[in-house]
Amino acid sequence: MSDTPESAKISSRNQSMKKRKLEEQVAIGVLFLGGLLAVGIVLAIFSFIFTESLPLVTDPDQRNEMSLYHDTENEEEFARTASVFQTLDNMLGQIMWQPVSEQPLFSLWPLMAGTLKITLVAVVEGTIISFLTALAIAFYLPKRLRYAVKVITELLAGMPTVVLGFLGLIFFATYMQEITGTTFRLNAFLAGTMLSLTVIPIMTTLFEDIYSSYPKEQIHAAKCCGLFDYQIITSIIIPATYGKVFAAGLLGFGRSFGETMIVLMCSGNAAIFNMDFAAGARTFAATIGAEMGEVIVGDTHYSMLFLLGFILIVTTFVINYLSQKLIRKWTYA
Amino acid sequence: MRDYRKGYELAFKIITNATALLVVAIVFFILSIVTIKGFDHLSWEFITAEPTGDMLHGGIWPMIKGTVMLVMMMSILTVPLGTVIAIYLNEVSRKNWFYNIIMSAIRTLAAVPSIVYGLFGFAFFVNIVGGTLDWMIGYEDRVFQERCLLWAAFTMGALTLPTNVISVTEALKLVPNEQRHAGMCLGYTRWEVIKWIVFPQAISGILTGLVLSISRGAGEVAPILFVGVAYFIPHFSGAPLDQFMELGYHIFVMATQSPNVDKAAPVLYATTFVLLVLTFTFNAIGQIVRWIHRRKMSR
Amino acid sequence: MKIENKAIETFDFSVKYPNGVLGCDSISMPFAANEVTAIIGPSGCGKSTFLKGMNRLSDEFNCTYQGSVIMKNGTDVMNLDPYELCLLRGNKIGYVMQKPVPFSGKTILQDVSMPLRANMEPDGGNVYDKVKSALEKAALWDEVHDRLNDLSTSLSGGQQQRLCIARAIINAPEILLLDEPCSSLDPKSTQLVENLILELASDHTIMIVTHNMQQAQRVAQRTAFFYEGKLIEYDFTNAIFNNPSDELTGDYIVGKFS
Repeated sequence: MSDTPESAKISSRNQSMKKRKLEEQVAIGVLFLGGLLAVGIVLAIFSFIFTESLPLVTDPDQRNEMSLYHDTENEEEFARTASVFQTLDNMLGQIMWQPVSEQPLFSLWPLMAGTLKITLVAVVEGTIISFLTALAIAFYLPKRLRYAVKVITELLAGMPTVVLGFLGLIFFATYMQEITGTTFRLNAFLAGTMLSLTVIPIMTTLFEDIYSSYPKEQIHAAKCCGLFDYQIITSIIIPATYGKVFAAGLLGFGRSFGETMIVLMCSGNAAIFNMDFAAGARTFAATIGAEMGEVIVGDTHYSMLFLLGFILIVTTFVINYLSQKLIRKWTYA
Repeated sequence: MRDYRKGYELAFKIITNATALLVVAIVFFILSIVTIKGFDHLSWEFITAEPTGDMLHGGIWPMIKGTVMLVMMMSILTVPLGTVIAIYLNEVSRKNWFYNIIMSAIRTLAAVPSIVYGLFGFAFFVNIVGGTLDWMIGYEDRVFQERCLLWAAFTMGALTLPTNVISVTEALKLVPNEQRHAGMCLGYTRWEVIKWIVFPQAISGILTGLVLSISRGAGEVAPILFVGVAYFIPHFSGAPLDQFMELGYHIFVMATQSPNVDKAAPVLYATTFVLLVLTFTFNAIGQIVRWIHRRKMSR
Repeated sequence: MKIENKAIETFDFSVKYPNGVLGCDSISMPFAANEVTAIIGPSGCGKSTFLKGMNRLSDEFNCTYQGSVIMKNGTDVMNLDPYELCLLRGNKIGYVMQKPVPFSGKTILQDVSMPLRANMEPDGGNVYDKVKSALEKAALWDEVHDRLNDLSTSLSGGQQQRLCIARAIINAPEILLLDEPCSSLDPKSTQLVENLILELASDHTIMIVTHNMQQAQRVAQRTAFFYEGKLIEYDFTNAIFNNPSDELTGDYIVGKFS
């Protein structure tokens, strides 16, 4: 029965169907594995950064080294008793960052102050400039120039950060010092200003999207009410979109928070605990970038730098999550 | 009665336009400074020669070679993976919790600071993966557990993965749903619809992702700071297990650690010029390919 | 046609889109004061463009103009600078769009009082009174007087459209332009709005663009028929519908094309 031509055809068709089915299953499986791998990479990043910083808490030697109160006569006894609180005390109870010394000091405060100083300057300058530029692109520039200005602004986003850092260090620092009259050539304000150049293209694009996606009919209706452009902006668009603008600002904060090269080159890298914008500053990211090269693997310092990385990653994750939520929440009614 | 509105309107117009002008001026200023100051030192020899011991003379060929090798290896790793993930997300996955998890993973990857990728590359690729490889093969001394080009490329690949996924996704979203339905009506399986109908239309998206990630990878320095880049290796062989020199890192090191910055400045500007030309060319190609594709699809 | 008491008149008025298409082509047309004039025609005939051109809303679509639109006091709408244009739109010409457009995030009170900002005078205590009288004229006061602080987007479609009409008449403009105001409304709201138009005609000059010929017959004293950007026929409504002088008009009215 199976050698009739009709059934042979059917069986060959069945076989090709089988092959197709197998191919489908394999391909979908591979695609699925790809998706899985993306999740895997994220999990790996989080877990490895975390586990490498864990010895600060779990390893008695590191705890001992972190301890500020060395009992030299009773070193061994002490090593068993040095607690997590000693580690925390070193990180939060004093204000010095001196990783390579007899008694290593790892205070987080100067780094926090430095990060705050520099990102504050970057976000404030970036937000103001991008906000006004986006308004110009959406409302005020001559129509022919709008697209050109947009493209040129986006050009800034393609500029490598090391180039901006280099220009800040070699070129802008001298002129900035002449203008502002600061004692230090490299300071937090310079680094923040250079950093704002990386924030501007992102935020301008975001703001511009917000304004150009605003319902056109409402703007036309407002024009029919006889309102000026500035009245439309201040009384209709800004009240309806301030949440999104805030979220965009948060996103810019998240971006400039983890930027390394510009800060490493322009900030002077002085780990000092104050809020003086004319003084040097050192951020979490720049600390990792500057010190990771010379560190001994498995050392207290090594673990500490991974802890800084963990702080960075968690903070950016939270900031991003919040701003995504905010952007989704504030939709136009 | 005087009308204040006219004045406000004028003030708004002047302030916003002046700010836009400021941004444009900054861009032009930066580009022109690098061009003017870098052009003097630029020559054929500068591009093709190896640097001398003090790095003030000679050329930057090893850096260019290192950068190109890095982005090439990175693309080989990241582009197929990014394409697979994007196709899975758009074509295969249902919009369920697993889809959401992958999407948020991609978003998280895009937001992670680049320096953290460096930490990850050092802890995971160099120490864990490299160490395991050494142990499995049975090398006595460290072969894979070293900072080298291979692990730098892996690190960069993880960094540029979201760029790739996003640009392929954009291209896939431009494929009309009717075409997929038409393919199913012809009796294609899900995979055949992807293979014969969707994928050919996403090729330009893959190209865009490739080019954009090359431009990003050529410009980033932070992730490779401690995963394989070195200060001075004039005779770079191009082997994946060697350390290498890179344009961006060269600029960073020369600007911060050179004993005489004034002497180094012309070399630096010329190097910056080369780097900018590299990244901007790739960026421009990417934007143009994307633009052409959009026009083709929307017609 | 001859009109004694003209509120506004266009002379060879053309609106050109940036892609070179003439939206409406040299239209000369007077409008009688305190009457309702309907503009009918097939879709794409330029009737909406003509209306948008009258208060220069077409500026927003990068249109260019030829000819002139002369108001009763002799000002040419086409020659106004942006500032005078804003005053004109706020005080002299009200405009109601095809779809109701409440402003997002504004309360009913804020929404209706929006055109008051177009005036120089500081709007102090009389905002409430003005809004109240506008809403009363728009036959909406009874429905919303106890929830003036609700969002304007929370109203129903018909209420929103009447709110837009209230917004258009709050500064007592001479002229009211209605661009297919009922096309997105249900029959009951349509009836309400039509009654409203008839009432408002006593102290406003109203131009209504419509694709609904019964509506034109119900509300308008005069009717103009547009075809492919040109004014084909302009006469009393009765004359147009019962005894059209042009063959095209007749064909359109009996429904040979639409």
